[in-house]
Amino acid sequence: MKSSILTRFLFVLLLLPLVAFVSCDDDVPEAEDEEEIITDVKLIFTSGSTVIEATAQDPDGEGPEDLVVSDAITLMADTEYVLTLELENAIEGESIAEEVEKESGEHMFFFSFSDELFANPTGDGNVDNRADSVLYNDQDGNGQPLGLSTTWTTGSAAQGSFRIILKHQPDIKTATSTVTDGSSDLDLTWQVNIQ
Amino acid sequence: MHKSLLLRLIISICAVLVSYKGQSQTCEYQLEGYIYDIQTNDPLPFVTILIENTSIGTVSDEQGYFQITGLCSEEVHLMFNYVGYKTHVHHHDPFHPEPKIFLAPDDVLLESITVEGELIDNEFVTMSSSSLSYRDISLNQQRSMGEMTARLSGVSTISTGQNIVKPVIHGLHSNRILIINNELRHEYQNWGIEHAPEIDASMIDQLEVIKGAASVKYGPDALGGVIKIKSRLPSLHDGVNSMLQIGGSSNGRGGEVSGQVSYGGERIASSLRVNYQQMGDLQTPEYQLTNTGMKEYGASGSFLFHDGKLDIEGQVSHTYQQLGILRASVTGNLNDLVFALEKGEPTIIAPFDYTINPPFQEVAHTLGRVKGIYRWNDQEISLQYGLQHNQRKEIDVRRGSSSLIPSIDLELTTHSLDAEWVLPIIDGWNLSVGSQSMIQDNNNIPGTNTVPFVPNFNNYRTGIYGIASRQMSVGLLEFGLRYDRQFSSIRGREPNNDIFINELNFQNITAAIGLMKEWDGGHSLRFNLGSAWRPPNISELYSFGKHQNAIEYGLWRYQWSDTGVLKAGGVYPSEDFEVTPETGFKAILTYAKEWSGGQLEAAVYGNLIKNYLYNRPAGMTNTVRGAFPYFVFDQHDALFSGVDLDLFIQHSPRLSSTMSGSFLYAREIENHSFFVGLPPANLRHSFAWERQFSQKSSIEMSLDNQWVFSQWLAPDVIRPSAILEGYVAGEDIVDATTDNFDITAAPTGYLLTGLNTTIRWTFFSCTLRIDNLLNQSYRVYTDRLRYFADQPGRNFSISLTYRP
Repeated sequence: MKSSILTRFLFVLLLLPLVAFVSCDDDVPEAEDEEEIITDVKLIFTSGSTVIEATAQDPDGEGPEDLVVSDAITLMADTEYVLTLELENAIEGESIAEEVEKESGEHMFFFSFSDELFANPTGDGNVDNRADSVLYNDQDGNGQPLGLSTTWTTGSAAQGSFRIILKHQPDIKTATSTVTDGSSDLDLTWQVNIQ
Repeated sequence: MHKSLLLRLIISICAVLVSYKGQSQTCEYQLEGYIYDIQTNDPLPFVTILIENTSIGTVSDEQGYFQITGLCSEEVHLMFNYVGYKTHVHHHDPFHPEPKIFLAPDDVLLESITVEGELIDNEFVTMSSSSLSYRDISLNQQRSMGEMTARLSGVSTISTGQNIVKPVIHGLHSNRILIINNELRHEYQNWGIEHAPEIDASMIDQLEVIKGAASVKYGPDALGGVIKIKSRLPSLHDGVNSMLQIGGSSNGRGGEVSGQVSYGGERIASSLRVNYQQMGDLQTPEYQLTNTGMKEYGASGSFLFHDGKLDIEGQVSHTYQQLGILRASVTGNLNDLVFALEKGEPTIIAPFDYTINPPFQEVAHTLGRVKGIYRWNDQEISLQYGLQHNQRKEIDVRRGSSSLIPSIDLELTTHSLDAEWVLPIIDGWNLSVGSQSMIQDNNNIPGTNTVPFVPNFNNYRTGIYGIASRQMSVGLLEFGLRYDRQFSSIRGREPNNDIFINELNFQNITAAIGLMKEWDGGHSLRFNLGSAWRPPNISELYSFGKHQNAIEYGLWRYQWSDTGVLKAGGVYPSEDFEVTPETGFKAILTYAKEWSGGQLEAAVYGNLIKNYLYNRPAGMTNTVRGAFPYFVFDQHDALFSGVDLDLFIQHSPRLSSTMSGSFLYAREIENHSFFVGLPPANLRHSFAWERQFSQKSSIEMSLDNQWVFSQWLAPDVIRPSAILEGYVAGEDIVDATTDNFDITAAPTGYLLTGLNTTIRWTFFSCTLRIDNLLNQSYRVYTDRLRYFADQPGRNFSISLTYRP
């Protein structure tokens, strides 16, 4: 943008009395540790020495690039697995799972899966109905389930989907709170092959 | 060339000054003013006006107007006498020409008051403007400033619940309108509909809305209009006055206390005012609105010094507000939103509580100003310095909800210097020139644990203007011209904490022209065509990420690739992406008619906004939290047009009706799409009745009905459940070609009834007010919480005033 000498002169002249006794700092905002974003999710199914991993990654966080969910999870039939969840904020190199564990009183994982994908728990998970069976291995201080660690026993060969929702339920997590309460920190779906 | 022009200008100005110096100082002063009834705002004819200790005087005419000529002194004491009204004495000085005297009837508690005008009001009189009556102001002081303003036709609100209410003029709000708070441009985080101006309604004594593009006089941002708010300055010769008020309301179980002391002496006057208000959760007819409480306190002090030709006035005020936001309005992803919408009532309902939990806002605004006015002959020079400090903390529900760490923590300091010179009348022309300069510093306060999208910035702005008016044979003709220039230096952080630095330069010329013609029989016509502009605001440029239920990218955060794929990330350099400021051209035509039993005013307007900045849908993205539609800020031309109507009828000496209505039609021009959240057509009617029982007691009642239509000029609805289903089926319901859309249909129309009763007895007055008398369940289209909850139900409030 060009401007004539006159307008520049006026601009400076009129601002002068203010500039004379007002000083503005030219600071850049301090760097902040972004604590809200989850960029990397890892599912670790462990059975004895067998470890099967699945991931979901969203490197640009709230940018427009889509999330990358790993290919179908292949589990062996008739096997008991312990599922451990790892949540990470890669931008800050911070474990969100630790934070969730610390605030277990207001977080809960819900699971939904294709009907009869597992021998135990049976059914289709506790997203549609909180009372449905999911085998939680961890609890918060009030004895309510958390879900960073769960147990799954596969049945015979099958295919289906497996969805995990992490709900943030401050002051509202109870024995009857459901997936419709609170806000979702995580909502991801993987395909599962049991063979 | 330019230098010689400037030189010539200076020489001619000096010549004018010198030529007026030699005038004689004989008995040729004059004064004029208007007299009204304080309760009805009606002009009072036949009032006797006498200069104290003389026999010089006059009588007011049918318009309440009076004029006294041939005065030997510029400063006089005026005495106003009228049968049935309290005698009033007003000290008149040349600084306040055209005083408006509001006489109080003998038998009411109110005292007569004088409202002193600006020396020479350099407003564009051809622009439509309206003021709130004394009665409406005192009845609405327990509410928000936004709600108070919305009593006027053409003005509505955009809100986030009851606590966060922003005024809207002819469909425009935020930084498309200006708020002049006690003669200073109210400088706050005016981007975003959830940032209400931090102004305490109980400190407002005068409220005027100018509905034209008034950039010429007030600078950038005045595309839709200007709201002028004032606390009354103390008056000279008024002695000691005090007031104490307590009030309470049933819905929210709220209480309010305010007090005022003022002193008006011969040369100095001052006043002090304090206010405290607290409220708990509100209630709809069916359920509690959890976390909608608020807390507010404020104090202000002002002084006036008057000596001959010099007036110095000063003011300091501080307002603090803690504003709760409905807990259930926070949703995580689209799925959560579907649950919330399907439930039909808030997803979280807890028993009544005064505690304010996240989400809430904590805001404070401090203002200080000093103004000097010097007047000689028929000229005036004024100079005003203003300092404003605005703090905004927004505490969201976040992981670790027990933490009260704000996710937005900003501090904005603004220094301003305004100068104006009213020149002597030359050849029938009234002229004034002025300049406004501003330096602004915005800083993020560290410790939010989230990368702020609002950068730190400094703004340097200056503008010069000239306004001329003259009575011609065709009517009163007005012109105005202004030049503005703004420089901004911006320093921020990208999502990965990389630093970006932008420097921005804007300049603009705005102009206005107006004509007013009056005919016999009380008809008049006013026409004004004005331009206005504003540079883009911070969120329009830098937004990045989730905001409410969608993801937003500001103008400098995204780029379309050759293949039509959106890329967003860091901040794109401003050289490559020049942003054109918004410019508006607003024409407004006002017809007014006055007759013995009432008055009518009708205004038609059209506002063409070039490069209107708004966010439009652009696509879908999948995140760890689930799928979201995303929106990008874009610029297209838009048209806002409409009609405002005001009618007043005096049915009988005791009974009167006030009616108003407004209709707005707004569209984006290129794609013909409607915008979300614009005020629907509405009508208001109020019956007022009053009766005096004895010398010291009176009763006043009013019955208000407001009919708000369902907004039929709304964009299409795309329900979040449809977006989700489409997404699961591998089909993007929202993409770059999608028109503006809303997530639910506009709420149905509703009729609201309110009843007010004021009883006055000796030093006391008591007002009982019932809102939503019929305890209706309804939702307001311009309230963002319409998706989640109904509006509050019936409310009884009472206030008791003691004025010794």
